[in-house]
Amino acid sequence: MSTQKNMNLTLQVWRQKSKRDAGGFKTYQAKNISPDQSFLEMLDVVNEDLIAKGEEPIAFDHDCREGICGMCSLFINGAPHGGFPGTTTCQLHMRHFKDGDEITIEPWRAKPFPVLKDLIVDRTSFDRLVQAGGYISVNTGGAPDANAVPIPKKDADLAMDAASCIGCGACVAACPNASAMLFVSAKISQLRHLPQGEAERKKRALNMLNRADQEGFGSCRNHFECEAACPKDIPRRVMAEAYRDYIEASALREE
Amino acid sequence: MSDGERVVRGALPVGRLVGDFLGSSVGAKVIMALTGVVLWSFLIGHLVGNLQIFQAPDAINGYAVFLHTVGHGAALWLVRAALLGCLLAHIAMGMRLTALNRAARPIAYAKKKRLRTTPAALWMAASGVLLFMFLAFHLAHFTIGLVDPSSFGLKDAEGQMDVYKMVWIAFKNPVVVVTYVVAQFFVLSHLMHGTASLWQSIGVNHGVWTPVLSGVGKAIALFIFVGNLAIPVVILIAWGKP
Ligand code: SF4
Ligand code: FES
Repeated sequence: MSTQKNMNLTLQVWRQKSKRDAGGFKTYQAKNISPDQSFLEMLDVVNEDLIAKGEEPIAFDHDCREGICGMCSLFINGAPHGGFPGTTTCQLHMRHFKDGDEITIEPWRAKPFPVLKDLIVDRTSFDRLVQAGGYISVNTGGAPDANAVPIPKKDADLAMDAASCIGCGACVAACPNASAMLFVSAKISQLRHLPQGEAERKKRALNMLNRADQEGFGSCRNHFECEAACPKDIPRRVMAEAYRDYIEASALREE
Repeated sequence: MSDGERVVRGALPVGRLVGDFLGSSVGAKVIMALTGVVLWSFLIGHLVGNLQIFQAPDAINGYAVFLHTVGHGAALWLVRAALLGCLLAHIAMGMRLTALNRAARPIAYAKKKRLRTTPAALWMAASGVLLFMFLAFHLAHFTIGLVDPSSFGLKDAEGQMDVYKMVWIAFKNPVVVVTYVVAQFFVLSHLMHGTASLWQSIGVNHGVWTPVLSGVGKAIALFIFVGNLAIPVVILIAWGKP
């Protein structure tokens, strides 16, 4: 239990009825918030209040609330997930705030992430990116033996670094250009270091990165805001790997 | 995996391959990095050549004659054409990416923090535009001779073009000096991000070497900044000559 006292906060929250509604900020008071609550629990308290008053509660995405599903997606005080290292919104605790603080809460902002309601954005563009190549093609059949394909520890580690991406979209939200490069590259990197993913390495880079352009994500200009904002600390290395595969694929494409 | 849906289509297979690459945002990035390296190398060479202004007049005047006559005068024009090509490609890609990136975030955040990026990186487009304007002025000044025709095309005692005198006359004028000094800040800002980030753009990311290469890039950017500043400033405050 923390020794910090409960606090009262002022929230500036983006409210938007539907995709077509223009939306705007509304001010709310969050009263008697415990420093041990998570950011989402704080919003639950505010919503209880709103429901009691007969008002529409604030809509926000969440699911696991333990930092693994990638659903929570709030732009808090100018940074995705609040901008704390390695922290998702659901794992952000109120002890990081002080009594009397004003907190601005916005949805992710990007053309391929249209706002559905309040703080909820539609991230199906990420699904389409994965459909474009974020997989390996395997024919059905018996499950192969575990460890049938030996993978050096170093390669497994590189793949695992990238595989920890939870698809939250904070990278896009943080990027000055709303580029999805870190997310796409995390998928590319995760597969390219494994023998199962090697076969489709070039095609994958080509298809996924082209898809990102088509979805209307911006282009990377090496600001690395994504790397700083990523709750899973996906490193910028994965993007260089994706460019490498893309360049190689473009240079060697046989058609 | 479907290999369909390309961004740009050309008629010929080769045109299509090149078009696809140039039309993609990764391709544009690579072109910006490569043309950037050419333009950056030019800035280094330009400065090293120009530092001869601090020697006797003969040094830089002779150098100018050399540049104009090497390869029967063809080399100069070949280099100029290559530089112009790189410059135009760099600008075209930069403009296209900037437009795409603006469109990718139609609604801005009410509040946005800067996490890891630098002001130099955020101002690339602005510093690029200002640099281009300065370049136009600079060419009009020393290459075409529109800014001060009276000091352009002078000949020294040996009948060579008198670059030395032209530069000294130019930088005895405080207004001209201020223009050049201010422009150097845009050069520095543009190079600080460009030289550090070009490696990532071409897919080079190494735990040890990338930071070293980026550091060297920044050091060279600083050298260019200091060297380019030195010429107008030293001339302005030096007495007497020529
Ligand atoms: S790369 Fe990081 S910020 Fe981007 S979607 Fe994956 S976990 Fe989220
Ligand atoms: S709610 Fe699942 S990661 Fe935050």
